[in-house]
Amino acid sequence: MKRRTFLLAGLLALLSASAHADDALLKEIAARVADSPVLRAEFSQTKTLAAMRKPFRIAGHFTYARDTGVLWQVASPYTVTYLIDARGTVEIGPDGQRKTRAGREAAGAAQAGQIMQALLSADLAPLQSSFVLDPVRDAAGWHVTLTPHSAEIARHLERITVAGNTAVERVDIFEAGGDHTEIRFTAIQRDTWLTEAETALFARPD
Amino acid sequence: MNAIQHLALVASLALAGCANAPHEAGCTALAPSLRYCLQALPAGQSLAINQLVEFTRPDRPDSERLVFAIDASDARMQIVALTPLGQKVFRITADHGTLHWDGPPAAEALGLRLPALIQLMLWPVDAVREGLGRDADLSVTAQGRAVRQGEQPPVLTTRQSNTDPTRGRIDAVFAPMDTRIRVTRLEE
Repeated sequence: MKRRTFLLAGLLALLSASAHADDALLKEIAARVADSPVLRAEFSQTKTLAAMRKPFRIAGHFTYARDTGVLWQVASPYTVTYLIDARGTVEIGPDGQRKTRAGREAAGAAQAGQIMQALLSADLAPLQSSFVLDPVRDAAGWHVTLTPHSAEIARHLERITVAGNTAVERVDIFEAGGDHTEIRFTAIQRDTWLTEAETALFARPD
Repeated sequence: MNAIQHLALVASLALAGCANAPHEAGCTALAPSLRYCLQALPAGQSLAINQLVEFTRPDRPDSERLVFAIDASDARMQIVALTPLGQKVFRITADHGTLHWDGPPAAEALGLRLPALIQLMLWPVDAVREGLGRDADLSVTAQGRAVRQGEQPPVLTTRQSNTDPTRGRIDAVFAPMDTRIRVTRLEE
């Protein structure tokens, strides 16, 4: 009995130490990544759908503004821009026409957008209420695996991994149904201010 | 109006016209007294493509864009609809005439008609004629297809940029839903 109690205490201590180490690494990652108000990159996204032979690929330009939101400017294989911020999602067509997404679809996109914004800033601590975070140092820098707490989310989402060094360079989303989305960021640039063109795209006239 | 609302609207319009149409496994009512029964691809043929699909209605200024990933071989066909940013909207599986819908209930009625519409536009001519049975006639040129019932205006007309409809672009008008559909194959 004493031996079992001792082992349990040891295990709890180990887990506690591990949790502290995880927290410290998460803080370190956030500090390394989220030190600039504006981040620009090229992105390529490959979606591999379960039981489908042909993957779906898009590529384009990405702008992250810490205090505003995220712009996804798809350039290939078609042209469309998405603004995702705390207020939801706006689709901006090639002609500049804006369509605000509403309803459940938009709510889901906005929620996904907020998660994505947290992922891209590597400010992962706020996601701890929804995910178990498992940060790991590796040869290239670090990666964090996010596994959903709730069975409701786990019905749709198996896990997310975020990886990078001084910026988030790769996000992998593994859905419960077997779909996999891989997003890679390259040519990452940091800046202090948005350009005029970016400011116009981020602007919400309403 | 978002993509789901748009699909729900056209679905309700389609249902209004098809409420009394006969229905059996693998057969879809596309208009009053017009149904199409899903057909297998000929042996040895298969299809795996991604398409950008734009729906436009005359009473709506904005078109709605979805990406359709289509994978078919033999009597099995899968369609996954994605937003242009790659978020999944719905998935339809047709397997030997049995249709399965995985998506928002509001869009299901229209969604389950998509395999038939896609086959009318893309499948080999003989298979489409088989699927239409005696309900309608299919006329085909190098530039496109038309599905007619007797002397009435066409139910579906397509104009295609390539003699192979699975390539290039298709501009279609589907009269029962008063909807124009532009389909553009996405190349790698």
